[in-house]
Amino acid sequence: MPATVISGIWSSPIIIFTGTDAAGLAETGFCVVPNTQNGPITITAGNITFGTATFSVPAGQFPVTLNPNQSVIIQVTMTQPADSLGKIGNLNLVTNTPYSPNVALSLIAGNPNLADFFPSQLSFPITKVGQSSTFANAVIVNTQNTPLTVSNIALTTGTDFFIVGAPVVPFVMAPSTTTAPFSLQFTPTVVGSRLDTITVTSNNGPEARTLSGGGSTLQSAFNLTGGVQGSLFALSGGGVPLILLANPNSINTEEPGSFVRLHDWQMPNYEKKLMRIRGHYEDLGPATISFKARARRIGQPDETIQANVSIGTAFADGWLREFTSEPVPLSGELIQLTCSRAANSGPVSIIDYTPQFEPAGEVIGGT
Amino acid sequence: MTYHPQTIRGPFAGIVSDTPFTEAPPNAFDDILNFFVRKGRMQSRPQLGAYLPTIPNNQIVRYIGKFKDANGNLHSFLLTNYTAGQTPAYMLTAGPVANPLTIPGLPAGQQGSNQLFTDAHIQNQVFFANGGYPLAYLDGSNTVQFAGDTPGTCLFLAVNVSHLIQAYCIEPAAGQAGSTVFPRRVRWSASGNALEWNTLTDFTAGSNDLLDVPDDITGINTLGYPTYVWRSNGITVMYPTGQGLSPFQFYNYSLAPDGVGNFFPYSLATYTNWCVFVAQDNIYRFDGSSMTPIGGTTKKKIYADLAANNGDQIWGRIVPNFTLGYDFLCYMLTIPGPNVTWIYTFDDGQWVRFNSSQGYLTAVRTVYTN
Repeated sequence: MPATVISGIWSSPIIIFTGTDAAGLAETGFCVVPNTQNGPITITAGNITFGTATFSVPAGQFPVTLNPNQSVIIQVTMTQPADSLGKIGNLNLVTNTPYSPNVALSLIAGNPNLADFFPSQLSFPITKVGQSSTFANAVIVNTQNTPLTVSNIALTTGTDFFIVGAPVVPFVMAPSTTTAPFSLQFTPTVVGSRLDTITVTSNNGPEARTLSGGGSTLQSAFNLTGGVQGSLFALSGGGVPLILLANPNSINTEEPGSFVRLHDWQMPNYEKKLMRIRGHYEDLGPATISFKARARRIGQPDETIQANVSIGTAFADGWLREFTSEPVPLSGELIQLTCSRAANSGPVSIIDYTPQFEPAGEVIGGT
Repeated sequence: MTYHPQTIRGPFAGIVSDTPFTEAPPNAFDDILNFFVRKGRMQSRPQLGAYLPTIPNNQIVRYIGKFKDANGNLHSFLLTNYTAGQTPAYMLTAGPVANPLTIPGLPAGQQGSNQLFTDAHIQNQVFFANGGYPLAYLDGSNTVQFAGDTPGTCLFLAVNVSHLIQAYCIEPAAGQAGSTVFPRRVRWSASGNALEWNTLTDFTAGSNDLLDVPDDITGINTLGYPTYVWRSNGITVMYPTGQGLSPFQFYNYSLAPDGVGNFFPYSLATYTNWCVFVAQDNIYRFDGSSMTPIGGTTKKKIYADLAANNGDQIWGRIVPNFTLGYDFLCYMLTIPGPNVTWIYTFDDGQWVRFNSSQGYLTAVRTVYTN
């Protein structure tokens, strides 16, 4: 995805990575680089000039063009090395001008932890006092190159959070291995924010993680199962507001409807005599549609002819069927055709319709 | 004798009003009412049948919503107009029954409101406001509760990085002593606590008055990473900073007095990380990076209806379906006065019209009914 351009001159000349929980995991960092030049620039590439073992630039961000007084957000990826030493690097941006800004990259020393606990933090949803949350899974990872002896897994207070199915201690973990998942559960004893700490103790010392959750006394009311859904239409009503429910299985609309089109059938300046309307519909049940043709001449009342057409069968099998209107001879240069249905007059699903006409000579005037 | 035929078939082109009919596609129409252009067909729209024939207090329903509470229970609710002392909220149960929710005691002078609502969901609670009562929320219980120490209320709500955000603030709430309207104010709660608004109690709460913009706030939504503060003729963007003391930075897309903005406040409708709004010159779909005009060649009729609006507020909503059995992703723009709802279908990219002899549409939503 191309890098994001934002307005304004913003600059973050360094990206600091705090490190991930295990070697090989990636962490994403961002920097903002401004166009401080007097004209537009196009950044064509971002190169890691040193620190390539740790840092990389995700593909697809370039080229990106910046106008003066714009900045761009660039993404950089840090892949956690196996050791816990700090790392530094440099990102150099190549542009179509001599302007070639640099961004410093830094990984803080000290990660990863040796006996690490995943996830690094556990937040449970708000749970009613006395009830229990769903289980959250956790694992312990030996991220070092030598065996690790885990001597204890314990909660500091243990009143609201519980460990379920943890491995029996002590046990030894081979290098770069993970325990089977075990569970944590939240059962608040009082209302409000609840905290605890789970500590995994190994021959490398203790490793602590925070558990958090909230206790509530919510008394749910007017509950629904969610087994049935409906589309509700609230209407202003005639002084009495109301709500109607849409029926997804019926298009037998309770209101009248229509679609209208003025035709000259690409034969301007010629009279046309509309003779017939044929078409196809989807059989969703018996219905009645009406075709109304109207022509207009100056100084004369509108000439209109209407034909009702019964469509559909009791089979309502979705089969495509044909309809033909009664002949509706009506002449004019322009003919307005309205297809309508009355309220509750059956489901209508038109696939196509074909007005058929005869050319009837040039228009003399008066249309 | 052989007649000249001209077949009109799908995919149909919807209503075209901006060009002479001779220039419109042959499968376009001058008007389509209570028919949907759907899946290559011209279909009569779904039937609407009786559900709730009257609303408690005989008030207009302004919002229909649903949520799951902290105990995991599902709820559907209505928000209605209200006078001072009336409840604005009702829970639906099978029957159907609209069960009124009790409200807290009100400060002296507190007024009701007939404005449209906006809502925001955070931590299994639904916060809502319409410029009347103090910012309130539903948590699944049988009561409406006010949002902690909120200084008042607002017209528009959003959520970003665990902050509940109010926009177009009224502080204190309408009718209370000293109540003042701040049409360019954005206020955010403490991080992770939508009941805490006092910056002295929790420094992650705060506010910002957009003093450098020429127009008032008309909506707010979060699309992906940033929150967009919509104005009549422009947009201001709130970017999360990750810093507790100053959690948002504000950038104005535009400071020009004229331009593309959410001109009709409640026309803004959000769906996942994109939205639709009505500006002065067109109707746009916005995905956070690009604006796509969707008014097409139907603008003339739509804007004629917008100009004829009277009596109530224009509003829009994006609807994915009329329950799962009838997929129909569309934007519905209701215009009281002409009492019509213009419907833009995203699958077919066309406009049609909806109306009812029961008046104009005031809310629509697919919710739990049992």
